[in-house]
Amino acid sequence: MVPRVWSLMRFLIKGSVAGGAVYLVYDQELLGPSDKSQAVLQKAEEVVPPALYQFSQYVCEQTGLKIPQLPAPPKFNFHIRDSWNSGIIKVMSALSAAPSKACEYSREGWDYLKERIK
Amino acid sequence: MSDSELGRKWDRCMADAVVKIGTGFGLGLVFSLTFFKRRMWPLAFGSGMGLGMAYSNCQHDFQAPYLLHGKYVKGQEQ
Repeated sequence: MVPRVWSLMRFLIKGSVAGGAVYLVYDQELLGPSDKSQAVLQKAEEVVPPALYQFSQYVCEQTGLKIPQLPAPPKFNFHIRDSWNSGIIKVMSALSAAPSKACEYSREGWDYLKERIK
Repeated sequence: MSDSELGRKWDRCMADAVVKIGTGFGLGLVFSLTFFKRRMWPLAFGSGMGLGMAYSNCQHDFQAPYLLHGKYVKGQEQ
């Protein structure tokens, strides 16, 4: 009798945890349109760091431990997208101008040789 | 499609992919721990489903360039 009740209780607990997870996903529309997903991600970026900080402060107060203050990460003023785009543009413009430049340089080289031979 | 609009679409696609893959992984983790005896296949299944849904959303977004994306604003009670 007791093992049956215990197995039923275990099934109900597992079912409620899984059902709660499914309901949370449905309620927050995490598997819906991309606009909602982007809004959820922005909201998480705003909410999670202060929550983590408050939790760490609470743990420090309760346990008496002190978390060492980490130095601020260095800020890089390097825009990957801009440098990638400018690199692509420069490579493509160099490739498009390569035949005319090659003709011009070869003509100049030929004229220089003719001058030297004379 | 202008460059800024294209950039916004790519940003939306990346954010959508992160959220959907994470959600699929999370749901797979929950079901793996509760019903499927800590097997790996629910995690792979959930992540794969999330990836597929994100890819489908991105595909619709890029192939239908004239749809407007608005923001949801809660109506204030008067």
